[in-house]
This record gives sequence, C-alpha cells and structure tokens, in this order.
Amino acid sequence: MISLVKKLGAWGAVLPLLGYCAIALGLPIWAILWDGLHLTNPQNTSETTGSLTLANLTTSWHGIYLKGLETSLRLSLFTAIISALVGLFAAYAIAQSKGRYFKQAVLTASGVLANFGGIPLAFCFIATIGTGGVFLSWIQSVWPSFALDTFSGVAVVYPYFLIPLMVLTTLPALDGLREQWKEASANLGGTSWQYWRHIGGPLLFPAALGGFVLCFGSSFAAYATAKALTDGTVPLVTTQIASILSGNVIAGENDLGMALAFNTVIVCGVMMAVYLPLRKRSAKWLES
Amino acid sequence: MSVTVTAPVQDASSARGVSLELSGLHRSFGSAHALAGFDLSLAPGEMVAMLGPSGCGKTTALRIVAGFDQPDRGSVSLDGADLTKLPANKRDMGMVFQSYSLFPHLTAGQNVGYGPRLRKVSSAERDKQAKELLELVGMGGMDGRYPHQLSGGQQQRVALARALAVRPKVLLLDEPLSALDAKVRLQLRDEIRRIQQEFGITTLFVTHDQEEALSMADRVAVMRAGRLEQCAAPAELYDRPATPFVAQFVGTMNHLAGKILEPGKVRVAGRELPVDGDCPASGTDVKVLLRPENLDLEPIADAVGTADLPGEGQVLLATFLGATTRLTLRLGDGTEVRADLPSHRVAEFPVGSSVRLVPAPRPVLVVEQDAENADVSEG
Amino acid sequence: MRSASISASHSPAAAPVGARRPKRRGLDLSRVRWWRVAVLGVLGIYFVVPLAATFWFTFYTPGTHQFSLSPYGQIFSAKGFGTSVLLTFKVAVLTIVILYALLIPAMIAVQLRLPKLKPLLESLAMVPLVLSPVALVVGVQTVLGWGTNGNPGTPLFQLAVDLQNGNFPLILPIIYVVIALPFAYRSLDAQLRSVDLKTLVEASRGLGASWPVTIWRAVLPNLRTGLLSGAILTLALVFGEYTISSILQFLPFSVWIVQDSQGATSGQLAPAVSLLSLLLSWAVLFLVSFLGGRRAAGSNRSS
Repeated sequence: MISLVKKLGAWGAVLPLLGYCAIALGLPIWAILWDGLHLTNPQNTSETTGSLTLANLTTSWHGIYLKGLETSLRLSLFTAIISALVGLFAAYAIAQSKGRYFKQAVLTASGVLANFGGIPLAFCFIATIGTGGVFLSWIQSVWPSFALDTFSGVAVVYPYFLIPLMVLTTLPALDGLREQWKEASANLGGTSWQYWRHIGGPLLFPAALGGFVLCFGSSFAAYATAKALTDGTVPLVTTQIASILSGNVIAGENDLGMALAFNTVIVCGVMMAVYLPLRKRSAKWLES
Repeated sequence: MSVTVTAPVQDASSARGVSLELSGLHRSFGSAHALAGFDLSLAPGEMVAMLGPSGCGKTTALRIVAGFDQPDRGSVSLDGADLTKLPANKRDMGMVFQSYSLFPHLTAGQNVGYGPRLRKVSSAERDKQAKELLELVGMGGMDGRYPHQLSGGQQQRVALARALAVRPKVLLLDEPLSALDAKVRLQLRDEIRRIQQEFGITTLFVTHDQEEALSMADRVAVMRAGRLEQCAAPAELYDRPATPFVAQFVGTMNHLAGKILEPGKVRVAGRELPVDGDCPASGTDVKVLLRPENLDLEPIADAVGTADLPGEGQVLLATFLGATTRLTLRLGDGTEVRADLPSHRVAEFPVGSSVRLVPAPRPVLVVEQDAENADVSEG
Repeated sequence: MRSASISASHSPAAAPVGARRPKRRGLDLSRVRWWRVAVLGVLGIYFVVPLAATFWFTFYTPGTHQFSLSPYGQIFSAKGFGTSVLLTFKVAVLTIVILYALLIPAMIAVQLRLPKLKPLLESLAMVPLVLSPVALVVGVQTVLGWGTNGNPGTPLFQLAVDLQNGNFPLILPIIYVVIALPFAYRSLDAQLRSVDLKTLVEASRGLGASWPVTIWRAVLPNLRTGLLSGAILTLALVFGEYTISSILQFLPFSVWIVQDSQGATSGQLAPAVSLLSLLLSWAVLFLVSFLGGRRAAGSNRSS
C-alpha cells in the first residue's frame, strides 16, 4: 500500500515532463502529420478538407524537392560515415588516455562543440575557407574547384559538430570496455586482432551504430549552418522548407511545406526506431 | 552444490604438472617499489597462495607471471624455460580474475569455448568440452545462460571452467573469492581445491584472506613490501613463524615483555622459558611472542589493588567463540593480552578479577624491543 | 626458511599502502600510442584551425594591412546589441528554469522509483537531436495558426497572440526547452549516475526532511556540476539558436548578428561575435567541470 503511494508520487514527478513534451513536441508533430495528409481548403487557408490524401506527399517526391531529399540523404550519409569513423577512433584514443584533466577537457570541448552548429560555426568556416577566407588559396592549390557553398563545402563543415557528437555518444561505451576482458582474451591465447574481432568489436557495435544513426539524423536535420553557407545553392530539404515558410506562400505551396516537414518527421521516426534497440543492447552489456 | 567428480576431461598422459620459478623479481612504479627482489618456487602440481597486506606486491607478482606486466629485473621460468619475454597470449596459463571477467555478450558455454575456438577446435567438439567442464564446476546445464543472468559465485565457476578449457600449464587466481559473500566463498574454496588436485595443475593464487590461504594451499608465501617473508606449509607458518611480521600477520599473537637471562633462556611473566631459534645477547630486553592458546590463567588469591608483579593483570573482556572463550586482560605494565581458554573454565575468571598468566612450557620466539614493527596484524 | 636475524631489518621505502598499479598494457604498446597521437593530432588541427583562422580574419584586414581588435569593440557599440542580448538572456534564463523544474523531479523519480521509464526518458531526450528544428517550427507555426486564425474572442486566440509578443515571445522558451532537453539531460544523467542517490535521499528523509527540502538541500548540491554545465550549454544554445527564431521572425542574438553583418562595412563583426561566444562558453564550462571534478576525485577509483 505504501509502495503504491510512493509509485504514485513518483509518477507525479514525471508527469509534468511528459505532459510538457506531449504538448510542446507532440502538438507540432501532430500538426505536421495531420496537415501533411490533408489538403488545405483553397478558400480558407486555415482549414483542411476532411479526407486523408497522399497528394501533398506525392508532390514532394518530385522535381527539385526529390532532389532536395536525395541530396540531404546523400550529405547525411557521407558526413555521418566519416564522422562516425573518426569519432569512434577519437573516442577510443581518449578513453585510453590516462590524464584526467585531458579527458575532462576533451569531454567539455565535445559538449560545447556538439552544440556549436548553426550560425557561429558557419561564420567561422567562412572566415577560414570561404571567399576571402584566410586559407582558401591554400586549399585551392590542392583542390581547385573547392568552394564553401557547394556540397563538398558543406560536407567539410558538418563534421565539426558531428564528430564531437559521436565522441559524446560512444565514450561511455568505450569506457565500459573492461580491461579484464582484454586481459582474459590474451590469457586464453588471443591476439589483439582476435580480441577486437570477437569481443571488443561486437560489444561496441551497438553503440557505434547508434552513434552513427544519431549523426545521420543530426546531419539531416541541420539547417542554419547549411543556410548560412549556401543560401540555397545546395538543395537540401531543410533549406527548402524554410524558403517555403518565409517566402510568399501560394496556397498550394503551404501544403508542400507540410509534406516536406512530414518527410523529415518520418526520417526522424525511422532513426529513432533503429537507434533505441541498439542503445538498450549496448547499455545492458557495457554500462551495468 | 554437489559436484560430480568425474575423470578429468583431459587425458592424464599430458603431464600437467610443471614447475614454476620466479627469481629476483623487481618492479617499481615511479618511486613505489612493488616488488623488491621476490623469489618463489612452485613444485609440479603444487598450490601456493601469496598472502600479504595491501601493497605487498602479490598482485603485481601474479600479473608478471601471467604476462600482463614486465619486471624491471628478474625472470619467470616454467620447467626451466624462461618466459619473461613471452607475451601474455603465448604463455599457456589460465587465469581467473577477481570479478567481471566473463564476456558479457557470450553465453557461459561460449565463454568457456572461447579459448578452444581461438585454437581452431571444431564447434561440436567445443560445445562438448564446454558442457563437460561446466558440469565439473557445478554449472551443469547452464551453458546457455548469459553472465548477467548468473550470480557472482556462478560467474566465477564459469570463469574457472573457461581457464581450464585451454588446458593450461599453470593456473593463476587473482583473489577469485573476494567479491563473493561468505557462504559462497566457503563452497567455492573447497571446489577449487578439489578440482586443482584432481587435475594436478600447478596453481598460484593471490589472497588477502588468511583463512582462505591457510585452508586451501599446500604452501603459503607471506609477502611484505615486495619481498618474501616466509614460504611454508600452513602449520609451519603458524607454529614456527620465521619473522616477527609473519608471527603477527598469521593468527593472533601476544607480545609480552621479557628479558634474556642466558643464551637460550628468557624470563617472562615471572617464569623462565626456552628460546626457540635466534637468541639475542643475555640481558637484552625482548618481546616474547605467545599465541593465545598457549596461555593459561590462574586466579590471584587476594585481589588487593592492581596486580604489580609481571604476568599479573585484570580481566577486561570475555568473548565467547564456541568451544573456547577469548579473555582480554590488561597487565600491570599496560600490555593487553589475549588468552584462549575452554569455555567451561571461564567462570573461574569473571570480568574485573585479577589473574596471573601461565605460559605453556614450550620454546618461544623472541624479538628485540626496537625491532618491533608498527604493522597492523591482520587476522 | 628463516630470516638470518630477527633483529631490526630496516626495510627501504616500502610501497605505500594501496600503491596504484597504473594501467600498462604489455601487449603492443608503442604501436598503439603512435596511432593515438596521430588521430588526436589531426583532429586537433581540424578543430583548432578554423578558430585560429577566424581570429586572424577578425584581427587582420588584408585591404588596409591593419591589425586591430576593433571588431570586438564594435560588437558592443552596434545598434541593437543591448536589446537583443537582453532579450536572449531573459529567454535563456526562463528556458533553464522551466527545463530544470521539469527535468529534476522527473529524473530523480525515475532513478529512484521508476527505473523502467529510463529508456523512455532517454529516447525523449534523443528526439530533439534528430528532429529537424525546421520541421518543428513548421509544426509550431501551424499550431499557433490554429489559434490566430480562429475566433478573436476565444482564449486560444489570445494565448496564441501572447505567445508571440514581440517584446518577450514566450513561445521561444517553450520550444527551446524541448531543444535543450538532450544536452541538459545528458549533463544531469552523467552526474546522477556518479552520485548514490538512493542513500542520499534515504538518509535525508530518515532524518525527517520533506521531499522539497531533501531535493534542495541534499540532492541538488551534489548535482552542482551537472546542473551548471547543463545551464551553460542551454545558455549557449539559446544564444546560438537561429533557425526557429528567424523563421518565427523574432530578434534574439543570432538573428541580430546575421542581420547586422549583412549591413556591416566589413565582414569581420559576425565572425568576431561567433568566436567570442564559443570561447566564452568553453572557458566557463571547463572551469565548471574542473571545479566539480576536483571535488569528485576518488569516487571513481576502482578498488
């Protein structure tokens, strides 16, 4: 009986958070899903007609919007793979190091850098390798066609916040790799390579994959950096949505914006569905 | 948990017993000398425990034998062959760690099969071996369980099976029972000993628990500050400690003030006793080492004030231990003494009464006054 | 075996009790170390160079060959600086307050009583990272639209208008709470894990303290580092946030920078501000964790 009261009390502490998220996060998402699947009444743009329709979505899967989706996915995949690999190695190097201040400094730095997307990051890179940038001539001597407002340009910038994100996500798992396992493997006759293949690799895999998925999702969702760097020259879903929203909205276009947003929500949903089981598995093995 | 004692899985013709020799091991970490000249020899099939307080170097020595650490000087040899430069994964030894050493993503059976798998044993053969070994350590039928589904004691059994699966020449145990609770510890103690004897594997293990060392090992190596103090069978260690440190460390020991009368005789508690072993010059003030079970008591007739004669004092405390009761006394000179008496006799010496010590007429060990160590004896 | 004499044997500097055994892997040491240095070295360059270049960019003007720190000074005198900073700051503070008011009880409750909800909380804390702020804004605009496009007399309408008040748009903190959730959650979670919450709470409650007092006096002081870092990360996030506020057409700091830089004579102002804000948040965060880390020394040492 007493424990029931305690449980109720605990729930009472959690509900405000859940309720808040349901409203602040859930409502907008619901709005997107709803409007994405309904047509706006041409006479009164605030109303939607009753029936479910896929018309909006199909429009969004053609033309430059399809290109936008494609480019976004390509960019995300590319930057996520690079950032995940580099981030993983970096996290391993950090986990192995002994200096406590070093580790702390790196963790702090990662925390800030992972947050440092957006405008400030874009400006820093513009100052470095944009037109008039300090190092632009150097880069162009080895890579003549390089420009910051192209696909490659953006791809160089994204890892700046993706790698720290990967480090932050995988460092706990790497820290959780117990030394005894490496020693036990050696003791039983295993080489370093065999250890990683049979023990270390499988144990880290869920966390690494989860980190990759997170990087992919973040890369896909990024807007401000891309906007500041390219201002539309590289077709990305996020910039397209923004231009629809802030430009003059034709009646039909509003629905399109919804559809594009709908696409991103779906991508987000898929990411989460893949990420969560991975995270659970990794936590069970490495963070008990 | 009953263990079915079956014939050893490995064929007896593969001579498992090897001799292990550690000579002159030195290892320092910065300014801390973990090992300062450590020597130890193990005969084939022998089980030796390394015992000592924290920081005495026992774990360092074990890790050097296993190959996880390199000594600054000295060598490790198996059957005469020098292993010191060999990497850990080529030493053919099996190790059981203190805790958490099972691979969490593999079942018990797969954990045990890891070593054979690296040696390209076929999958069917591996499974069969694993099942047999798990049966041997009392984990029959649990080969499909994951480590997080097992208790601490069960995990250590699996760890033992895993170490045995590679048919090691030497078995190394790093405080395997410290992380377990008392009852499980006792059970596992016996089983480890039984398995070790059955296989006849030379075994070296580390512990800080005296009782464990004394009850499991053929010989116990008492270590202090990176050196070996004494290595002997448990009984000898107890009855004839070679150094004051060993005397204090193993079991409980009293220190009574005494004086050397003549070579080989010491005066203590108002009596003369023969001195065992080295004896300082006559006239020296010494501390005489006496075990509680070697002290008897007699009541003092008149209880006027505190007893003044040497060997006389008052009973402070009586601790019931079952068959015996330990009486704590304070002598006239302030020394606290512990005497173990059969419980039925304790009524003669109530708390607060004055008593006189009656040391057993056996040779005693003496220590010069200034050589006393401040080491806290662990009992 | 007997020692030669039982007389005083002065042992040399004995190993101190509990001498640490540093983690030395006797396996393949030199190769591993090289590779580690190489990776971290290259990464270090990648991360430091843009910052250094930015500083150089703001410092040196190629056209006039002048060295000066004037862009940094210009920041403070630029038009609208004060108002946007103040606005952003107020928004940030409100965000932090709401965020913690929601997070702290929930995380404590989950840790102590409802561990099954942990995965739910974690996923909730991941969603904002993966959901594009652009999409979120779209949704928010729509929801607000439901209010403003409805009947002027209804409370919903009034609410929607209030939320978008130009002087202090309440809608911003409301959304920012969601966006900052991952970072604050992570900071707090890391710290909660290292503190023995159960014992703290039981001890406090056992001495007769009520729940609020327990949290305020027993729990929160131990979470200081996590709370502070979370707050600073949120602060940095609000100051750096552009997407949502620009689309909703408000004028906090980031938006102001972009606008201002588009009219500025030299392109040096915006990078200067960016650099400054980054370094500042870094410095503060490092200080916070350094101070917090010292207090926690020894708690993670393995036996």
